[in-house]
Amino acid sequence: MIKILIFFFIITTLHASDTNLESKIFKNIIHAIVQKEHPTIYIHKKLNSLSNHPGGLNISSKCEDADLVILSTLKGLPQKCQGKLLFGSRYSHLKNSNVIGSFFWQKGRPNILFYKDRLKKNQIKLDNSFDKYIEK
Amino acid sequence: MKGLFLILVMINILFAESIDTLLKDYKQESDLSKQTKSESAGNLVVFTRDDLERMQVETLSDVLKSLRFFSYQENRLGQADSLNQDPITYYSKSIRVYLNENELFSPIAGSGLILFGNMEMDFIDHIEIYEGFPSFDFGVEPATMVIRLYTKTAKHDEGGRVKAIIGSYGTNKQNAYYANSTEDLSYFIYANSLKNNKEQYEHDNETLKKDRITKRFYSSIENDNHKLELHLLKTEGDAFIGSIVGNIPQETSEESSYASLSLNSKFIHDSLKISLSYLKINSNFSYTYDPLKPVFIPLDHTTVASINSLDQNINEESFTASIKKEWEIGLHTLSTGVQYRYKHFNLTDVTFNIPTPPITQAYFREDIYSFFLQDLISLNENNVITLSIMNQIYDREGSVKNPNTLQLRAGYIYTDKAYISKTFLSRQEFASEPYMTISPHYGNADLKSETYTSLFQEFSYKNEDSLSKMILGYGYTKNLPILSSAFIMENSDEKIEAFTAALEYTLFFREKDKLELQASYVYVSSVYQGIEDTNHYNYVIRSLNSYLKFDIFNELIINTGRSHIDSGYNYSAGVKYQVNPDFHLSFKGVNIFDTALNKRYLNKFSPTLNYVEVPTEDRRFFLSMEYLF
Repeated sequence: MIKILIFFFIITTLHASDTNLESKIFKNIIHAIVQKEHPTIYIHKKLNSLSNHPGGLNISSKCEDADLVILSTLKGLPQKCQGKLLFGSRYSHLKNSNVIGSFFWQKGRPNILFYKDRLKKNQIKLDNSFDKYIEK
Repeated sequence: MKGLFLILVMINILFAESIDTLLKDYKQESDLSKQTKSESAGNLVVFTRDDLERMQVETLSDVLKSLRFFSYQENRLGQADSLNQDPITYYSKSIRVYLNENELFSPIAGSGLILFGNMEMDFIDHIEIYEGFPSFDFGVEPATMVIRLYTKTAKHDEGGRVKAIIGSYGTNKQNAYYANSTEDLSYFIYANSLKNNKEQYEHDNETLKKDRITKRFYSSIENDNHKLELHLLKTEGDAFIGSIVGNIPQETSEESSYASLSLNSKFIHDSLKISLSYLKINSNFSYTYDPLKPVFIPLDHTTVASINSLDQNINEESFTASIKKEWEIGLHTLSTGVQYRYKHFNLTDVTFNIPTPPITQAYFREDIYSFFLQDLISLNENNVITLSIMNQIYDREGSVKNPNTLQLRAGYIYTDKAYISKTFLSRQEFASEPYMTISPHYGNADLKSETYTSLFQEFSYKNEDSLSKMILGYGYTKNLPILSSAFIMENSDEKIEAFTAALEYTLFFREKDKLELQASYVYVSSVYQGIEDTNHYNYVIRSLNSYLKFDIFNELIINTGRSHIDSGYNYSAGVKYQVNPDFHLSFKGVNIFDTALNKRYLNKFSPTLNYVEVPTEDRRFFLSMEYLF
C-alpha cells in the first residue's frame, strides 16, 4: 500500500519536459471548462503537446463528438465545429468571439486568458484558481 | 479497494501542481536554448534568456568577459578581439559569430567578432558558445570557437517592448521591438540607437577616446519553412589609438555601415536546409597626428614615409550559399553540406597628407568552396561517436597562394542522467585571412595556412542542486602567423603548444537562485624566441538571486598571470526591480572598484618600447527601464 502511494506521489511530481508541461496546463484548463473526468476534445489542426501526452483525455477525430475544440489555427475550421466550445492557443484566436479563452505566449511568458462575458454566455463556471486569468 | 482509490485521488489533488506553478515551470522548461543547443558540437557554455535578463547583459562583451580560457579584449581601434596580439589589429579570425543561421562576419577580417563583439543583446533570446574546435556543420570555414546568438521571435514574444538606459560618461540607449503573427506568417522588428561613451585616457599629451554611436535595425519574417532576415547597422566613433604604431594620434574616427539580407529554408521535415545570404560593409578610418609627432608607414616592403594624417575607405561584399542534408540510417545520423562563399574587398582607397604612390593589393576577390560530411553514431542510449571531415578550397584572384585546407574531428560522448563525458580530437587547417595577407601595414601574400591539433576532454556531473564540470585541453599549432621584426606577417617556425584546464561548479538553491564558481588556466608556449611563455589564470564568482520582486546579480572576475600586467579584479553588480510584470527598473555597475584587468597597446618601438595601458572594461554605472506591451 505504502509502495503504491510513494509510486503515485513520484509519478505526479516527476520533473517534466516543456511539451509535457504544456499538455498538463491544457489538461487543467480543459478539465476546468468541461468538468468531466474524461473530456473528449478535437484538435484543429496540430498540437504536439496534447497529441503526445493525452493522458486522461479522449482525443476524437470527429469534431461533432468533442466537448471542446482546441485550436492551433482558426483557418479551415470544419463546419461541424461551428457551435462547439472553442479554446485557442494564440492571442489572435481571441479575436473570434466564439473562442472562450486562449493559452498563448506573449511578451516572453506563457499566458492564459478568458473573457468573462464569453464564459457567462456559455454557462461556464471555472474554479477559483482561474480567477486571475479571467478578464472582465 | 474503493477506499484506496479515494486516497489516491485525494493525494493527487493535494499534490497536483497549481496552474500558477505549472506556468512558472513551463516558462523555465520552454527556454529556447533547450531546443537549439547541441552537446555533441563542442564544449558548450549557454546563457539562457533568464541569465541574460537577470545579469542585465547589455552587450555581447558582457558575457565574453567571463568566458573560461580567453576573456574579452579589444584591439587598438577599440573593437572586439578576444585573441588580440597587439599590435596586430585583429587576431580573432577563428572566433565565428552567428545570428540565428547566418554568420556575422567581415570578409576582410575573416570573422565577425570585430564588428559584432560589442553588439547590444536587447533583441537576443539566448547565447550558445561552443569552445574547443566545434562541429563543422556550423559554417563555411573552421573555427576555434563559435558564438551563436538567437534572436527573439514571435513564437514567445508576441507584443512589444521599449527600453531606455542612461549611464556614465553620457552613455544612453533606446530601443524597441515588436513581434506578431498571423495564421501563416510571423514577424519581428527591432530598432536600436546607442551612444556608448567610455573613459578618456591621456597619453603623451593626447586624449585617447573610445566613444561610439551605433544604430541598428533588424527584422525577420517567417513561416513554417522559410525565414527572411534583414540586418542593418551604422556605427561611428573614435578609433582609440589607431592601427599605426609610432605616436598617439590627435584625432581618430571610424565609421562603418553593414547591411545583410538572408533567406533560410527548411524542407523534408527540416532535414534539408538551404541558406542564401548577402552582405555589404563600408568602413572609413581616419587618424590625424601632431605635425611634430608623425608616424611612419611602409610604402612597400623596403621604403617608409612620414605622415601626419591617414584616411582610408574599405569596401567589402560577400555572398554565401549553402545546402545541408541530414539522414537517419539505423544508428547513424549522417549530415553533409556544400557551401560556397564569394568575397570581394578593396582597401586601396587610402590618402595621406603627402602624395604617395597608389597602394597595391595582392588580390581583391576570394571564392571559397567548402564541403563537410559528419556522422553521429548512436551506439546505444548512452554512447555516441561523432566523426567529421571538412575541406575548403580557396580560389584567390591573382598570383597568390590558393590554400586548400582540411579539417578532421572525432568525438566520443557518454551521457546518462547525471554524467556527461565528451572527448574531442581534431586537426584543423586555417587559411590566412585576407587582412593579414593584404594589409598595407604588415600584409604578406605568401602566408601559409596554420594547423591546429587538439584534444579536449570534458566531464560533467549534474544532480538536482548542482552542476560540476572539468575541462582539459591540449593542443599544438604550427605555422602560426606572427609579426616579424621587420613588421611583416610571417609564419612562426616554432611548434607552439597550449594546455588549458577549467573547473566549474554551479549551485542551484531556493527557487531561482544560483551560485557559479569557475577557475581556468591557460598555458601557451612562447611565440617568439626570448619571450616568456603565457600562463593565465581566470576565476569567476557569480551569483544570481531572486527575492520578491528583485533580481540581484553579483560577479567578480579575477585575471592573474599576465606578464607585465597587474592582476585584475572586475566586480560588477546589479539589481532589477519588477514594478509589475510589464514594467521593470534596473541599476547596474561594472568594474565598480576600477580594478579590472588592464590591456597594453604598443605605442612606440623606438627608441624604447612604450605602451599605453588601459582597463579592459571601464568603471561605469547604468540605470534602465523597460516596458512591455
